[in-house]
Amino acid sequence: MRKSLYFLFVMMFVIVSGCGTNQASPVDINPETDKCDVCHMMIHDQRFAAEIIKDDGTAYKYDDIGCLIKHMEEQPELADNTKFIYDYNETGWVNMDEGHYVYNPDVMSPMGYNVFTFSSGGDAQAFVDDNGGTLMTAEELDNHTWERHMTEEMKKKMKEKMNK
Amino acid sequence: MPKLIFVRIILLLITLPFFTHTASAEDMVRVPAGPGMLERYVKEAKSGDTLLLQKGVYSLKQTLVIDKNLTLTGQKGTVITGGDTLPLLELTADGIVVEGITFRYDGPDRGIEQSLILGKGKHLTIQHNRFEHLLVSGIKLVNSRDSLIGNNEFIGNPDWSKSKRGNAIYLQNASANRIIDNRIDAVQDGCYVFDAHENRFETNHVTRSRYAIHLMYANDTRIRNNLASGNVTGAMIMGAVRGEVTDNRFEDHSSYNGCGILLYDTESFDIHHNTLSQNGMGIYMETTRSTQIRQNELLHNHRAWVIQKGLQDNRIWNNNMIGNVYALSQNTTTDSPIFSHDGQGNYWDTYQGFDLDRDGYGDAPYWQQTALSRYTSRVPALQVFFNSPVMTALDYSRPDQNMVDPHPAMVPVTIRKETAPEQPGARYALFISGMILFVTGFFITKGGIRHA
Repeated sequence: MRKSLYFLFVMMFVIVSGCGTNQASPVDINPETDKCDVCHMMIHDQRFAAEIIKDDGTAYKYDDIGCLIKHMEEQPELADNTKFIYDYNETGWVNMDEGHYVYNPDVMSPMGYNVFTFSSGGDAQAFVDDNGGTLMTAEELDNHTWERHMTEEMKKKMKEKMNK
Repeated sequence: MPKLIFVRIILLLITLPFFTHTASAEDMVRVPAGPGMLERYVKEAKSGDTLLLQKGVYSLKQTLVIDKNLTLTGQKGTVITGGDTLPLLELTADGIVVEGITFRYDGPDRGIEQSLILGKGKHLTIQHNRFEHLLVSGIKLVNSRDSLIGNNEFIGNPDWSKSKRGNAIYLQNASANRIIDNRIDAVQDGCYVFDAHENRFETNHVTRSRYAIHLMYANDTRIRNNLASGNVTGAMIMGAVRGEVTDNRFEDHSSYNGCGILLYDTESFDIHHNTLSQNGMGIYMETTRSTQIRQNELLHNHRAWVIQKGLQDNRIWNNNMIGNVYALSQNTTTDSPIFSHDGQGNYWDTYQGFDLDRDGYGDAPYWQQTALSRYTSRVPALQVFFNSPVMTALDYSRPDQNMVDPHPAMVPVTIRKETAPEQPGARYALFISGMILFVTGFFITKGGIRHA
């Protein structure tokens, strides 16, 4: 009887522990085959890589955090999933909600959004000390104007379109 | 006799201009190979000098900045190296010529921003050189104008990860340059152009690299007569305005995401007389505006066309689609069919209609064969049903098809080669040459007869 109870207890523990929430985790980038799901560039510079991991395990990959934002603008339902950005100093993936960010229009990211992600505030500050730029928290990303680097001619055309 | 002297003077005057550009012996300085020699001779040289580099290795301890108008001419076996020194040469003056030299990098991967030659001056000529071990970029031009990069050879390594390789040629904010007749193998991008305009890429040959030609925010670019083979993508064109892509061959870009020409966020391109064969995708278009694509041949690609969202005012006509597994994969609808212009469509070898009115175009439109191409883009394993009765039945049932081409051609379109624009002054030069030959021949003949 005691043995049966013990067995039952162990089985319940196993079952209950298996019922935990499925924590989304980032997937590795293969620079030889992976391409951005928005701009189709190959993801060669891991320092700018970004991912959205859906609950079913589907991974959307991006070569620039700006492409991830653009994808969420096009498909707002993607915002409910877990998002990861790679640390600019290549220490690993950072949950987007916990990252520290720097915007510097003079330092180029692959698609020219020029936002750099760091796992620690100290690293972000060190980047600003060396290169300049504006520090941002994850919450402040929402207020950031996501604009790609554009040539003067492209800016002029865009202004003309907006004035029409 | 006085007439003979007169003839000689005339001949001398006529032929004199051909010899005026030859450097005199005083201008040419032989630079012995060895450590520190090149730095010393460059420092002592005066503007306009030609430094003749000998066979041997010129090892640099630090970047050699050339700030005067010099010509560096190497010969077979002339090597400039510098361990992990980068760049090896920094060209800051206008009109510098670097030719006939092998540049070899012996350091670790330092990224594409670093280069063996960094050109900042205008009117530079970098030709007939060889660049080896390209873990960094070969030539980078920054703020340079009107320069020529021609007949160089760039050698990477196909065993390295593409992300670790350097670019062969990198233009940043550098305009009106000519990139001509270079041979490029196993680098990251053959030609990477960032925020640089009015550049010309002609008769280059790029193999086994990531992108043969990669435009990012590059306006008024001409890509002509190049051969790209075995790369991931032939021409990657992004954020670019106005440009011409013509007479190129993009072939064997057959990897998982291989593509002949990829257009993303581009405007006002003219793409014609290209051959795109055996690519994963022939031409990919997304967010493309006011672009015309005509007189191209798309042969034996997995998908000849991939059309995505964001198209506006594009026209595609008089192209031949032959032997492709899927002629079209279109995941978006357009307001009006884009595969037609002024009543002229394209030739699709899968078109099965008739031409009863004998006007050369099918009486019924060409419809997208949606069933399999649409589903296999989501589930590639479904390709096993290719040409199966079920899929054929689905295609003919046309439940949700797009009308693609209202005027499909019944026979392949004749690709008319457009004559290259005549070089300014070419006719004048031809006339002068003819006159020289005529005058020379006349006097020699007259003189010969008299002496006889």
